[in-house]
Amino acid sequence: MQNPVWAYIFKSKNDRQSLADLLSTLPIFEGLSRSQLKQIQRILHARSYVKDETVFNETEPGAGLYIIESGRVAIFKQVEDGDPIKLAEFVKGNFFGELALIEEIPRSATATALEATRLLAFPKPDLDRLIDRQPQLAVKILYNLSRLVAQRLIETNENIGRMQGSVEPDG
Amino acid sequence: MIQARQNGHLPVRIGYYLFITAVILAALFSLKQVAGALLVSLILSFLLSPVVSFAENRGIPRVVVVLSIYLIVVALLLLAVIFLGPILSDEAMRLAGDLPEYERQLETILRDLRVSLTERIPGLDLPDLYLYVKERLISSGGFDLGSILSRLSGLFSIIMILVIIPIITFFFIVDGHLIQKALLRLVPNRYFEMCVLLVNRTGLAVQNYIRGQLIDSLYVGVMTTIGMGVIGLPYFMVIGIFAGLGNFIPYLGPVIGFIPAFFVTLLTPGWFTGANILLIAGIFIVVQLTESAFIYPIAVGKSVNLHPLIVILGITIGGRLAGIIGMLVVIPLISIVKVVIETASSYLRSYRII
Repeated sequence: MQNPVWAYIFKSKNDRQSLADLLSTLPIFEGLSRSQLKQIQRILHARSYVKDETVFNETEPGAGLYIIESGRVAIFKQVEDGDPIKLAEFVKGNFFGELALIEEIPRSATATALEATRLLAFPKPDLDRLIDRQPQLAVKILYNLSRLVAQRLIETNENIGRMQGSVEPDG
Repeated sequence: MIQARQNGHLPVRIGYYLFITAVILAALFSLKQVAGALLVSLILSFLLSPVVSFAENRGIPRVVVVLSIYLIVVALLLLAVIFLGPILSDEAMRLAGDLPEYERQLETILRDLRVSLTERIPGLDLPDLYLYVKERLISSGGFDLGSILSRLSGLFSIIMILVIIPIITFFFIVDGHLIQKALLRLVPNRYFEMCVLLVNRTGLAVQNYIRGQLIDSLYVGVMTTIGMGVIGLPYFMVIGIFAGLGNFIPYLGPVIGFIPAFFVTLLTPGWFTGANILLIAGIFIVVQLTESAFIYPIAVGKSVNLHPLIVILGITIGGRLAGIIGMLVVIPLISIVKVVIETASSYLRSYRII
């Protein structure tokens, strides 16, 4: 184990293993087999960001989803005449920007790295390619994606309901 | 804060990207053959990848699909060499052998035409038409089939065509997305999303254009060959190939395709009658009409329509720079550049870079 070469090989193997483990915990890759997870791993783009670096900007076309391999990312939304407000903060194992996988629509908020951060990007063109070439794998991802969006919709509806409930007594 | 960090390193970063670009460009320029092979392989992989993806979709690995396509192509080529080769080379040889005879006939026809025109229209001072045409043809290299072929074979040696291009194409098809991924690693974070979308969209657009244009030209070539073959015109295959190639050039294409047919009719004894010319013109018109009504809108679409002025200027410049090959290649090249610029500018604008 003293030999740096061996250390390097074991380390990279462990890294790969832990990356596969990380992917298997994500709801978007739920139900994927080990070999399908490996395929996803080959597709993902590893990107490094420094503290305060922007991952994507509000209103720019979104290219895909990001998974946090290490570090922290915050989501900010610009409000009219004021400082941007922080909507959410994500840590290792979280993911964000999944709506861009469904359609190439403008980002609804800005994502910024809060510290040195490593992200795995899963761009929409790569998902499109999977739909074309490996539909049996792509359909699982799309199913998970639609479940996530449905869940989000239910939460939003509940929020609206709660807001209306709290507003009505006054109005 | 981040802005300051990046601006401080701006010269270094510019130098870094210039260096990478320079290395790639130098490699391509010093090895023009390699650049050509890469380009041809890229086009081939664009053409084949939908077929490969379709088969992969049904559970056949990409490697197997590509190798089977190669086997099929080799088999088809062998069949073509065995069955069509003799006919085509026979036609070409006969045409080359008959050319001096045709030239003499053309001379007589044009001289007669001049005499009869001068007789009928008093005071008309016509130059020697034959000398005029001959000079034109020679100066444009139009009739020199041999020089076109040798120029083509100079561009691509046999080894290049048989070994290197198939191998590069193989890797482009099988590992294309990995190559793309490796290139995207070089892109700074700020431009990563834009580049992902841009590379994908331009790739698709160029792929669609090349595929559509080839389907379109194949239709024109095959239908013209069949039409000319049915009425029994000599050299119908050569004429069909010319019509198909000419189809790469908008507006002028049909005319370019018609010229060889017209000359063959003019110079083949017993063929030059008004009825025959009308028949041949009719076939060309039917092929053109069906092409522009049914094939072109589906295969190529409206996205790459070029203004006639650009077509004319492009062909003039292409002809100047690289002769007949230049004239054939220039319009597809301009169309591809147009698609790339249109896509790029729309993305650069939505990312507020321009």
